[in-house]
Amino acid sequence: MNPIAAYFRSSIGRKQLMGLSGIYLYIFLLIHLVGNIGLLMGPEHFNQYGYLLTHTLREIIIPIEFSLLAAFLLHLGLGFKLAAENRAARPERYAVKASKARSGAYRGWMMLTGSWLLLFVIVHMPHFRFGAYRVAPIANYDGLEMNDLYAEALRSFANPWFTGFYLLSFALLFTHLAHGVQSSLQSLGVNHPRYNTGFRRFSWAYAVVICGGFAALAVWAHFQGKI
Amino acid sequence: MNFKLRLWRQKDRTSPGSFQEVEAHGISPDMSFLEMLDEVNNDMIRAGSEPVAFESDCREGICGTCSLVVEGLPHGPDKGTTVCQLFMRRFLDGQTISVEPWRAKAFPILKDLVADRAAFDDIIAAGGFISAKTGSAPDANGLPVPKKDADTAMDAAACIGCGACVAACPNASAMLFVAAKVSHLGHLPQGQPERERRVVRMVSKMDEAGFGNCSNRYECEAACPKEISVEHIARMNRDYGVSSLFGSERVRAEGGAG
Repeated sequence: MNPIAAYFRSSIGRKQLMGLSGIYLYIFLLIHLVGNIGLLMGPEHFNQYGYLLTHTLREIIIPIEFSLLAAFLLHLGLGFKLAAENRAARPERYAVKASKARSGAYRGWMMLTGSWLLLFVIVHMPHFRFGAYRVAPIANYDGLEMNDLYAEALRSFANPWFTGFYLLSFALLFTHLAHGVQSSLQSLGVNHPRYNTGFRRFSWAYAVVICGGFAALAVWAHFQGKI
Repeated sequence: MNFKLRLWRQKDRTSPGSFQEVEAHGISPDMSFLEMLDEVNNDMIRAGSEPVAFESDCREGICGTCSLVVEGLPHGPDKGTTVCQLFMRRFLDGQTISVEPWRAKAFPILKDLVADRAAFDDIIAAGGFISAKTGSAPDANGLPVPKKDADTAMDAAACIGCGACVAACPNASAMLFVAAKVSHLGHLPQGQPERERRVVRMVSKMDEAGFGNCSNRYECEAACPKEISVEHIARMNRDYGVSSLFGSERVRAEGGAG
């Protein structure tokens, strides 16, 4: 087999693709969070930002969105494939299972939390990425008409079930990132005794910032919409 | 001391296995786990039943032959020991102790507590060697090796190939074993000529054998009787990526010794 093709079929090659696509996705989450903080600056700022992404920068944003979709599909496709192989690698389970590593059970939930996040994306994307154009009312700033995504966000988050679903998803995303950020580095060979504690802390801190940030905004929007 | 043992009994590779409850009486706290099993087997032989099959050789923690999962932990509850160096004083009098074999698709069970670890031999044959000139041994100081590299290589070389990493891994992955071998030879000047070929072929053989994939849970490192660090796995990941994609030679996955 061609050595390059063999790399993409090997366990390590696929784990490295898993890590790279994961890195791309979690960097995107940070940018997404920064954009969402615009909610706090009021409807005009937030709607202008939405207009910037969907209209003004359309030619740049759409290819980026396709690359994100590709990374997402690759990440989840490989995830399912690797998990199936991992199950097959131990056909008969242990009767007694214990752990010496005590590294946290959440590290074993990647498949579970990942599947939930797929569900989340299936709910989230049609709503805020595609549906918002249809459901959101129109706002008018200086004669420029744009979708009032701010109003749509506040209206949606006023529903406690909706907010609850988002908060649960962020909690699961937290465990996914707390393991995933560090794991992506290890798979790519980024490991050094001097920095390993730092990588572990960075992984947790990143998960706290991302999930804490999104959750805080969801809670804020929930109470904002009610008042 | 007395114990209730739940021993995994399995007739052969294809038969389904099950636990057999056995009482162990009059065990000295200073006996090793394997000596305790010897006593149990003696009782079984005297009673006319078939003794339980398990593997051991040196019984001093350096050969990597013993391979028992005690209470769900490969080599038992102690850190950095093989099961032959696990002593019965570690357990409570009257305790029930489950004993299972290594479980992995790549390690089929031959009988009772004996798993076939030939897959490791195949991985070694694929690249775990160096080319050396025959003749008299070279002068020990003829080839300078930095102290740091010698230490890291020695840490990796401590691997005794017991397979506890595979047994402990939630995915039955052999990454720590293969990484230890790749890292050991990769750190020394003698290992450089085959460095690219070695990592590609050993990983390819590992995948072929049906081991799982690494999910960085680090159970292997915690279970390893020689406490080999997952740092070696990261090094193998780097070496594998670089050798496969940017290597100076186009390495085919096939090939090896013999």
